[in-house]
Amino acid sequence: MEYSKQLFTFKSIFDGMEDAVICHDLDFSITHWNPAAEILFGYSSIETDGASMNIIMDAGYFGEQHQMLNDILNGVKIDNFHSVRKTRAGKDIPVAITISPISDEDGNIVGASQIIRDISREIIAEQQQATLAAIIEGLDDAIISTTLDGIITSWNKGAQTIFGYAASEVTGRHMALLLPADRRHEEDMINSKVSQSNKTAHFQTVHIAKDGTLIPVSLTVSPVRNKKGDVIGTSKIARNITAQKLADEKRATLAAIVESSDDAIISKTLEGIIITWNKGAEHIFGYTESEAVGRHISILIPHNRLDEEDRIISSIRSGKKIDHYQTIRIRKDGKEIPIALTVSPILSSDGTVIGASKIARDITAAREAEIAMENNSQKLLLLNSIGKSISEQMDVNVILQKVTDATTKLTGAAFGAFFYNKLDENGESYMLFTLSGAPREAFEKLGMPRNTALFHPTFSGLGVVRVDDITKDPRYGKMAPHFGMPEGHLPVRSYLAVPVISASGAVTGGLFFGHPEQGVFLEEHEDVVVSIASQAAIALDNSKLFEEVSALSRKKDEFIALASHELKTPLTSMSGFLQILQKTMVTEGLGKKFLDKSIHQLEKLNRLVNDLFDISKVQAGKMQFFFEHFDLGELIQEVCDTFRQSMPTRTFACDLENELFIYGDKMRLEQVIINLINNAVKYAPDALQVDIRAIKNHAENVISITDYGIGISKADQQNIFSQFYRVRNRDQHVSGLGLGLFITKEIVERHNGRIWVESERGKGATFIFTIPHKN
Amino acid sequence: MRAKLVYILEDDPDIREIVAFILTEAGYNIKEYGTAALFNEAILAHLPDIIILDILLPDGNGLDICKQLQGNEVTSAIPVLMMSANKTKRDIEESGCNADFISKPFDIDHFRQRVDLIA
Repeated sequence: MEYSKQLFTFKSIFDGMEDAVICHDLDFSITHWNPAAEILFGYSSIETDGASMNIIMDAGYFGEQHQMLNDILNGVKIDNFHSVRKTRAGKDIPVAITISPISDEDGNIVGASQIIRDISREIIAEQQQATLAAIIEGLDDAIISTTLDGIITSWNKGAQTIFGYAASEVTGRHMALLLPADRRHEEDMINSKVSQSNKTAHFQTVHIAKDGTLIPVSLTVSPVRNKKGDVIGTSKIARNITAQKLADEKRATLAAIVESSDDAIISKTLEGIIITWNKGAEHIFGYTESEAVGRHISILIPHNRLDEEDRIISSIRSGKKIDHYQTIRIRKDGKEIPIALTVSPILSSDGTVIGASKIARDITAAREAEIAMENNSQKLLLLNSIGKSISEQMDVNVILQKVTDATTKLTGAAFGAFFYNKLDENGESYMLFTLSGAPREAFEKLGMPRNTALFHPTFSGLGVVRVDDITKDPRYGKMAPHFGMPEGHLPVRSYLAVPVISASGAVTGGLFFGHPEQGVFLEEHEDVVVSIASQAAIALDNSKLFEEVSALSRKKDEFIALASHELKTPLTSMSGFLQILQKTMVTEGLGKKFLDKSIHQLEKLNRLVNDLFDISKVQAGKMQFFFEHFDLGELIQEVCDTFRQSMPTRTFACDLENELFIYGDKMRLEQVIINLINNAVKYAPDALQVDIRAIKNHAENVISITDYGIGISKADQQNIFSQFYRVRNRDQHVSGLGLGLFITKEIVERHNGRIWVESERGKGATFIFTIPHKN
Repeated sequence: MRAKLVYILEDDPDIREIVAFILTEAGYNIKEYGTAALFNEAILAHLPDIIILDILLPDGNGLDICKQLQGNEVTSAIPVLMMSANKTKRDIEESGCNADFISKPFDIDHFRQRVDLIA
């Protein structure tokens, strides 16, 4: 009974087990089949009693079963052997099998018991585990788990990639390893927060990699619970957000730039609908972002420029950018403003144009600056040119008019006048005036400005008067009979008057400007006029000096003309009487010799008087020329013949080309040739030959007169053609006033020719002049 | 053949004398005048064959006298020789005077030739 009671106990354990328990003999005939086996395999114990174990497996497992039995017969223990069994319904079930031998009373093994556990769930869990592990390992994010104390318990590949540590290096170490010094406290805070709230939390922080790089990370921290649900640690998913952060920063920077730009930055669809609108656009165009976005871009375009938008859009559609296109746009308040537009296509990721971004710069200021600069440079130009043109000018009236015109223009006056005191030949003062911006009649009937309270400061040289509204000035309207501007006076409110003071300190005139509006004349205008007035004063002084000099010069010329005439009268009679003597009475002996010498000296005296007379004409610009066509060669030949006759001891070697036709003054050119030959004779008294050559080249006739005298030094060559210059020579004295070559040069140049000298000391000199074939 | 009559208007007596001497030697009849007034008076009385005029005169200008003579039918055919120290042949032409010209001082042979030429 003891035994059966024990057996019963076993049976109840056997039946109560969760796992299937099956006993079989050594031939695999089933001897026992517990209820769990019935549930697992779908066979009842009655059905299986005596049946073969093979019913719960595929044939492929028969061998394995044999092997397991052999093993346990040999004393090998088989525990939790994983295999697959089959249910009655044909379904494969993963199982873990533990086999134990069954012995009889004698200790012989008579069978085996198999405890077969269904491990389907475990396998699924295992697979899930493996999948999770694979996921964790395969993630780019770092997944780290720690205890609540912060000790790292797991570390995936992503963590290794991001932070550079291998799992083996960090497992068991504290998370502080990854934290920069100033963030060490975060770990405890995060852990306690997560464990207390029991919730997943997100943080952005910075970790430090093995190589010291700071890595911005986005952390997702979740509590890790044990089976009981107590939080025992945390898992952290750390995402490296360096790139994202850079992109964010870049985007933020761009957004900030766009927002803070003074330029309008607008994007629009290809249909012209405004999508974005920055502060600059708000400022330039006056519409707020909310007013503008969603509306058509044409709200900014003046009607007469609407076609511009079509052109811009068609250009953008074809992917072309529009750069610094200057145009006009219209503000919300209707004001038109000049802008410079740059429009670029907005491309989608596949490269198609989906819209346009437009940068508009308000160039009002630039335009104004440009205009101001242009104005300024024009003023400068005018200032510069007025200074130059009046300083070159000697005619008072021209100076006055130029100054009046320029200053009226520069000040923006409606009209300007220049009153100038001048002394006439009798020393009486009279007033010249010039006007700008008003007809002469507007002033003529008013008479000259009088010494009123208003004009007094200008004409007494007290300084500049500049008044924004002259009718309100205390000095205005004090004088009878008009008490203000006479009837018919030009309307003047803005008034500017600048005295013109000569170098001697005397006020010689005044510049007056008027404008019918108030406050037109500014300090800068005053400065400009004062500066021009001082230049004008100098020019007027110069002009006065010039007039004085001219008058003196005229007197001198008159005197020379008179003197030469008066000198010639005795010359003529002396010459006449001496010739009569020479020809009719004193025809031989010493008397004739002296007579010849006297006549020769008279001729010389006559030439000197002629030269004096010529030079006064050259200086006065009054040397007259009479141009005609003639053969220069013939003229030279005649002159040569005359010289041969009068100086038979000398050789005049004339070498002349034929047909040297020119258009010139025969008498003056004769004078030139005579002068040069005379010089050749005079300065080379011992050399008996003078060479005279005339040739023609393609453009001109070249005439040269060569002597074989002492030559001319380089220094003398440079000065020889100037007035009163004479070559000094200790060895010989040659008479003359030094006018001959000066007059010669003047004559040659009036024929558009050139004259120069070629000489070497001791080797004679050649004077060469040219006369164009035709003038 | 009758000797040709030459009127000379020249304010300088010495020059008058020289001209008269040369031309008398050359076979001309000479009448001399020192002022335009005397000359004008004479010419109204009797016409010469040749007239020699100085330009700068105390009471007139030889060029004006020349133009007057040439503007008058009676005297327009009489050849005129102008003499001057300061003027040139060109000045004479520009004045509208149709006259020959000789500048002072002159070569006496040359002077005689010029008179012969227009006589």
